[in-house]
Amino acid sequence: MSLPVILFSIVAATTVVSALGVVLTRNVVRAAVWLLFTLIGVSLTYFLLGAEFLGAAQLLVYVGGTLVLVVFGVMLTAQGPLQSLKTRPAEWVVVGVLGATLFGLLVAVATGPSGPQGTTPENGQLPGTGPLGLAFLGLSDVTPKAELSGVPQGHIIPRTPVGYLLPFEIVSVHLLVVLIGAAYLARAKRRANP
Amino acid sequence: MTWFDASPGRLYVVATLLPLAAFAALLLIGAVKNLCRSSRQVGGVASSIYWLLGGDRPLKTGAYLATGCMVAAAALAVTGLVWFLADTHQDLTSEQMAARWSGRVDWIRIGAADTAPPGEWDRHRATGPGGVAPRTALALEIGYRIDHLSALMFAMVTVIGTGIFVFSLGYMKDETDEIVEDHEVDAQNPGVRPHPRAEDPPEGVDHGHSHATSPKADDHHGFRRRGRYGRFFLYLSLFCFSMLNLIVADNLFQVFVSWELVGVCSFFLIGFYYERPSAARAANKAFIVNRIGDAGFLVGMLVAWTSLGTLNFEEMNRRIRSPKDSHEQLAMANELVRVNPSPSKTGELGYRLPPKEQAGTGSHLVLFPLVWDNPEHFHGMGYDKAKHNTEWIAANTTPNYLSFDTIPYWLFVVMGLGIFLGCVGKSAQVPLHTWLPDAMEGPTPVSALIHAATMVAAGVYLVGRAFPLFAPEVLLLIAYTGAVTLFVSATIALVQTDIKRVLAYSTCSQLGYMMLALGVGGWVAGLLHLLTHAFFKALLFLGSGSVIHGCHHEQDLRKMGGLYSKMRVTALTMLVGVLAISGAPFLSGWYSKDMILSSALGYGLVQREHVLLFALPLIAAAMTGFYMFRLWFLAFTGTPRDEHVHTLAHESPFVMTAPLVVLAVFSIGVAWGWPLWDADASYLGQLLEHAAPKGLSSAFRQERLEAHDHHLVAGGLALLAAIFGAGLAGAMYWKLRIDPAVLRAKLGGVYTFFLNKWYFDEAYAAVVVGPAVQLAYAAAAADKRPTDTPPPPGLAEAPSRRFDLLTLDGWLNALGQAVGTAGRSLRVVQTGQLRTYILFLALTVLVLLGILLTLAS
Amino acid sequence: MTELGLPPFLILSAFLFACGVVCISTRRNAIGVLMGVELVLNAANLNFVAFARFNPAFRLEGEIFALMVIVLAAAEAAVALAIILNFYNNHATVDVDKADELKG
Repeated sequence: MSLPVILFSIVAATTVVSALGVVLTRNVVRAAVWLLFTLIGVSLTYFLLGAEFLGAAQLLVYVGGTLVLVVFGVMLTAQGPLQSLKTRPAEWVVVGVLGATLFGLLVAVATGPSGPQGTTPENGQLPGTGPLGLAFLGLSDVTPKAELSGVPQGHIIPRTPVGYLLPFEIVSVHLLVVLIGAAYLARAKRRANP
Repeated sequence: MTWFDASPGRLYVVATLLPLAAFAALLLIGAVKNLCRSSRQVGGVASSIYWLLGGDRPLKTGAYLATGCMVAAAALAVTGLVWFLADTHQDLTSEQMAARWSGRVDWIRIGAADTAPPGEWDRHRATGPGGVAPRTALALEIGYRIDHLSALMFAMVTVIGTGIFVFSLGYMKDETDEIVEDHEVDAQNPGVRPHPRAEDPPEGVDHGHSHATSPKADDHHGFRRRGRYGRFFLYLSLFCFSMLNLIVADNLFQVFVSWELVGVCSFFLIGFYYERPSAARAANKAFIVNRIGDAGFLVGMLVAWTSLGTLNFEEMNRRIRSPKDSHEQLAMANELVRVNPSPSKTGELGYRLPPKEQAGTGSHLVLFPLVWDNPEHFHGMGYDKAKHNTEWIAANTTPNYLSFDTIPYWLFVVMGLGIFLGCVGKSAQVPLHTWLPDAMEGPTPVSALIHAATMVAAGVYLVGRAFPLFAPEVLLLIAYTGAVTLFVSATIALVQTDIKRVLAYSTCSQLGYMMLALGVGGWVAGLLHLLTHAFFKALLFLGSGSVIHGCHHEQDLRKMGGLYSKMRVTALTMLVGVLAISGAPFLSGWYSKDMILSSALGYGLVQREHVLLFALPLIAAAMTGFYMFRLWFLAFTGTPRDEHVHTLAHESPFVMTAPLVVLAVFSIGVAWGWPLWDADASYLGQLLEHAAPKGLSSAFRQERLEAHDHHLVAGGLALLAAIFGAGLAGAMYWKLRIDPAVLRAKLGGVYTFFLNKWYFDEAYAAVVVGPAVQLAYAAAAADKRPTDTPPPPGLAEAPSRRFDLLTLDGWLNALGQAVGTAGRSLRVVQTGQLRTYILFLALTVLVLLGILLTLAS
Repeated sequence: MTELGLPPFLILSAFLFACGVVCISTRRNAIGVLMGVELVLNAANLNFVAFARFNPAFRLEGEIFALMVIVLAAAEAAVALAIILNFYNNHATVDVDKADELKG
């Protein structure tokens, strides 16, 4: 039992429990709080995986941004009866069976003999902020040595030097559009129909 | 010029396309004008275009353009004719002639395209091992081929066409007005004729055209419409293009296309005044009756395509007619060879020539190769070097241009019959002649064009062109069809009172002469008559048009009379036409009719059982003289029978009389030759002789000899008959020695019979049209009544409805209902609830994962 | 970390995914649905990072994709909230079962 295993067990248990909390609690506000813990758990997992930048981003954007948005939403629509809408038990049964099956199948796929094979990397570190930024600018010096599933060993896969400037720009523009759209959708419409 | 020098046949291509260009230009102008018409009051570009193109009045420039194109085409045609005749006097090989005066390109290729197919003229050189493989007949082609016949026909059509175009410039003047009032159509009741036929006086069967004399006519305002000057010339141009294309075509398919174009143009032009119900009916009738013939044509063409493998006239000819036989196994070249099936010693299926004493019989027809090993030397039938077996033809499993082949003889006869049926329809032969007199509903220049140069000429021309494709049995049928037609139409023409109808039946009759001549082997005679008749019939029609124009659209001969003093030019030129058609010596009609009658006499002398083929045209010659002179005397001599008409009558303007004079000159001299008094010496006929099918002289050798020996007898008899007819007409209508009424009373039933056109229309109405309409009504009733509505409650369903519901209707309904039910049941799935959709989505993912797992393990 | 291997992370991700799906399908509150979606997205993200860590072929791509997903999730949340607010303004409820105008 090394340290990483212990740490992972703790973090994973936290995440699992809080995820269950999100699902099982009836009150939306509580679900939001449970979600907070889940997201923190996931970001901790990122740290464990060595992706520090991602973990930080997860904390900042998700916990600091998205979740606050969700809480705002809860607040704006918070009326007594709406906070805890009931679901019928039959539905619970059906969905529960479904979810369990889905989980089982996914696990079977992931851990089965034909599932994805992890390799032991010689260098455990994932690229940090610097290489990521460079990659966005197309200046990455990270030349991946690929062993893709389905491709025979020793087969040279032609790959261009990676550059993510264009997707980065697309995402930013997309974000902008989305935010403008959201603002438009959510704006008060009192003036339109007095 | 060098372009033309290399291949002067291109002159004809250009000349053919000129009317098409005029058509396209007129169509474009009309379309633009119609598009801009809506904004003519608004202003702007569209409006100025509209007013530039003539505004509310029809544009005259378009008509001048069309006429100009026609004049140019005529000039090109005459140039081409002269050039062609000059070429024939040089020592050019047939290959060189073909290269200069013909051309062909693929139009629609159905089979695989061969690389560089050999030209038709060098095809027999391209057979050696190193030569180009002959193409298999899998392409519809367009091409032109000029020989004496097409060159002369082309010149005739363009010259007459030009005359008619010029004449129309004057005749159709009314159509240039902004508003044309058509008194034939009642404005209050469009679609109802102002005067029922019952009002017609008893002598005639004139269908309408009597508005001017009826006092009631003035009470009505005619139907008002816009002038159609441009449209008229548009149709005329297309008509001329179609006919010219038909003449230069070198293959049956192109002829068929032009054939249909001619048909549709005649439909447009006959129905030019389509507001008049009679005109609309006549147009429909012409089109539908022609459809019957065209169906036959189509059958013939398909047989030719499948069995001969080509539609090119020249190639079809070479395929079915024997080449020159170097071993004298066949009696002579250019004849049909018939064989009998006969298995070889080894049991292979093959064919053998019948023994000498049964020559000319056999159940199958030999198809000869188009491409020979050695074109100079024909070894005999199916020559096999190894076996030296010269009589036996193996049944070839893959027939091609290099091999002998056979088709059943009856199929060959069917092919000829089919093509001839097309010609029967187009050339208005009995029993499909009924459309032609009704086609008089069109404007008179159209009648002239249809009757002289284009439509009806097409049938005779095709019979002449496809002459080698006709089996002897078919030729006999052609001859009898022609004989019956010429007799029947002549009898009807005797008693008609409408000036144009007399001419219409006269046309039928003359076409019968041509068919008869072609059928009895007088190929030259028939086509010579086609050419000469075109001139004087155009003259007669234009003359009658001039009369009608001068008399303010009065067409009834009984209301005319004494017009000679009023319209001298028209009367004199028409007299020329009358003399020519009656066969007066030294006029063009004399030469051709003489040749026809001598051909018929020769045929009758050789084959005594067919003497009727000479008797009928002889009688009809007398009738021709009678009815033509009757027309002339009734119109131009005597005392005016209708003061109203006579006082208003006037000579037509120069633009109309000029074509008359030109055509009259042609009618006199077009067939002249030296010596003038020898009917056989016609120069035109000698030119046509060059184009005659090669097998003609051998197939009709005896008949031609007899015809030559007795042609003075035939000519004399014909002349006597014509003089008798003309004299009778003069006695009855000019000198008034014999009262027509007395004669009518004496003839009684026969007169009525002729007057009602042998009751052809009535018979068709009773036998074909009536039952067809009844059948249609019955079918409609059967389709509608019993099944559409369910029976009233308490009553049993009709058996037919039950049957219907069990069969087609039921099945279709069940299918539709099943689809509807499926939709309704699936509708439940679409709950509109987000969570359900997610559930289904998750289920899908589950299933996919399951599949993935199963596949992996 | 090397002795841990890929599967535990995948299993954790699968659990989060299943939770997300169950959350989406059971919650009647629209904001609850949105939370479920966030769970699903996080599960996917976890996978990306895990693969980036344990397969050198995806070292860079995995992280970059995860970043994009985070950003897109933020945008998505914003739009979803806007839609929810509009829905709430019009229907005075956030019950997704009431939003069945597209019923067949």
